[in-house]
Amino acid sequence: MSMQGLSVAVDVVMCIDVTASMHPLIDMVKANARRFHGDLVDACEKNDRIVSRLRVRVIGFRDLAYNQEKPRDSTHPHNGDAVFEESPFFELPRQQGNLAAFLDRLDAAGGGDEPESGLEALALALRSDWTHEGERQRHVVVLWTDAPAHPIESRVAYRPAAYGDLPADLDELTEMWESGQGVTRLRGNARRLVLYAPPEEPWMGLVDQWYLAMHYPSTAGKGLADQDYGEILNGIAKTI
Amino acid sequence: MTASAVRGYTLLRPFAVAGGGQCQWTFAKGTDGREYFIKQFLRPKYPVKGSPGSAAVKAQRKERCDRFEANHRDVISRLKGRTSAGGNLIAPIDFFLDGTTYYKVTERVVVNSMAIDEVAALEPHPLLSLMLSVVASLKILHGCQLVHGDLKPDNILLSQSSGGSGKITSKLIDFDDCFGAGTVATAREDMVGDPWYYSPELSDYIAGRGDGVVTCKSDIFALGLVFAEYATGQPPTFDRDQHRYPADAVAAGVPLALVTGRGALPPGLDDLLASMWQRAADQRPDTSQVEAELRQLRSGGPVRREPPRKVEPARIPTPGTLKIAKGLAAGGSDKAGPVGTTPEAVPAPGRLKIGKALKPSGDKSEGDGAPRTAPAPAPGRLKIGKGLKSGRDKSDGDGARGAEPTTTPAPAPGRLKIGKGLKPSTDGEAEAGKAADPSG
Repeated sequence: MSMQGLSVAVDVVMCIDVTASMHPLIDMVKANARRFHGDLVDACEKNDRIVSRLRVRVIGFRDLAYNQEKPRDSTHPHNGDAVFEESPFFELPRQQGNLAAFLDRLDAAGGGDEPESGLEALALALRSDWTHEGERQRHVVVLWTDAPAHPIESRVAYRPAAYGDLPADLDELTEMWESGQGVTRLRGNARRLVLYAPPEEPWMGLVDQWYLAMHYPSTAGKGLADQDYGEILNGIAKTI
Repeated sequence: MTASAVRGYTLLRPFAVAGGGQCQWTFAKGTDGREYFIKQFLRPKYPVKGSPGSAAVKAQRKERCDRFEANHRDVISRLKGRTSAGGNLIAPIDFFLDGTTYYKVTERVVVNSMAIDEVAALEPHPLLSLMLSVVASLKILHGCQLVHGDLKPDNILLSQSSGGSGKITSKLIDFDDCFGAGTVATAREDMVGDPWYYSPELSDYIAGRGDGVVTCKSDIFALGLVFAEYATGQPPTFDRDQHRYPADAVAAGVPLALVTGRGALPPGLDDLLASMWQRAADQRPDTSQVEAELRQLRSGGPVRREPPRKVEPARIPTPGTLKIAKGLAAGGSDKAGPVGTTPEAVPAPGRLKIGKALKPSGDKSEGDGAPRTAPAPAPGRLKIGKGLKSGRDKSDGDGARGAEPTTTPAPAPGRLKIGKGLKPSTDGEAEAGKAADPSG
């Protein structure tokens, strides 16, 4: 079928705080993973948006320092390199089962006290292999957390080797967001940042300083149990 | 956002995302005690002391902000004196930078709701009067050499007087995508309008095709689509197997077809709409010609179609520097409607609920069943039987719903005809909140 219209290819990267306090969100996301594609497409239609292609990628994150400093336990999955758990992009609905399987492996545990390593997770999200397909794209980063984030520079020493090339500070992270192609595969105005985070730093600073960033407040210490799944979907749909 | 006030405007509720994630809006109370609509732009962000990023990035941000600000101020400047409170063209009344973020303020529009199928059920005279009201607003904009750029039912608020007159008021809103005729101020990847209402040349521009010249005639194409919905309750149809949007169909030489069934169209309206959907922008009528023809249709007299005026696109060298030649600008006030639709300022507090009902909807054929008038279709004029579900399918699916048209007389050259393999469909619900969003 020949379609000459403007197709919108959508990539969504979900950065999910998988520390212990996030149990409610993880359970909710897992429960809804299998219907995520259909629900998002429905929400998009209600918001007058047509998605021609949808891919979703998940990045679970904890706290670099906590994972490095706590006593090593070889039987515990969340030490050292497991501070970030990254999936590839899954094409939905075809790979919905893969997405659900990946989410099933995420366990909301560890992290210690606040803050967490949310900014590094954001950096990982920005350097995703964003789609350039279609005549229009949406590159959406959704970050769910119930905690503030450590300044990036305070955690450089704790980085596992695999993450040595992450930005050294907020300036460099901002460069990634602003510069787009050449630095990342983010394209022009396609990018959107949706933060479900407490109204604290650095999140409020990002919303104030970064363009196309929006914030939905979450309650610290309560996970995101109060954040309705439908509202989250609708929020994402409105960015598309 | 958690701010409770911005520059003296007290926010009445939290901002809500709109415009494809490019902005947020809410209502606010001004220092004068009046309520306003306030839009917060999520881009660009002005670099301030302490902003993160390199000097180069901050310089880029500042340049982008300067351009953005100049364009908005240019639009406001051109419209100054041509709009007024309670008028039919809801132009910005305030635009400012607060910290890193831009805001725009317009009057809060409170109108009764009027659904598309209610509009389509109007008798020919009030229907044509309503169309004239909309054209009058657009004429003011085009007189300033401004292209609206996002003309669609959501951006034309309609209300019907609850009094005995039943007069219908239209309010043209949302000038965020406005640009000087002959150019587009927004980078193509930044365009967020509804592609259903794109003209072929605007669609080409966004897709990186064509010469990138977009004139006021682009709005005329969109206006034809809006009028089709007003007249029939449904968007026009075309072969949805082959083309996703009207602009694609027209670009491929496939005419758009009107769906009727609730009653007869005002005679001659189909020809006017067909002329507004010409592939070549300069073959479309301008607002004055549309206005003149609508008046003729309303009076029931013969329609004398003037040849389309060729409009040389005005190149806008630098936003804010264009001097509009005497006589070029449309005169008059936006209150001076040519219709029986006297504007009513804020008629019914608390009764706001617009956009949802304004969206094109599915099967509107059940209606009152009583044709407004039922003249025999002119040779070549399309008439599609009651029960057809047609038009806009947002599902991206196969759209194989509804019935085939019952009659499709052979269209005359240049007339409307329905595409082979039409797969009509129903429409979904509109975005809630857009209803009350007079700025998009």
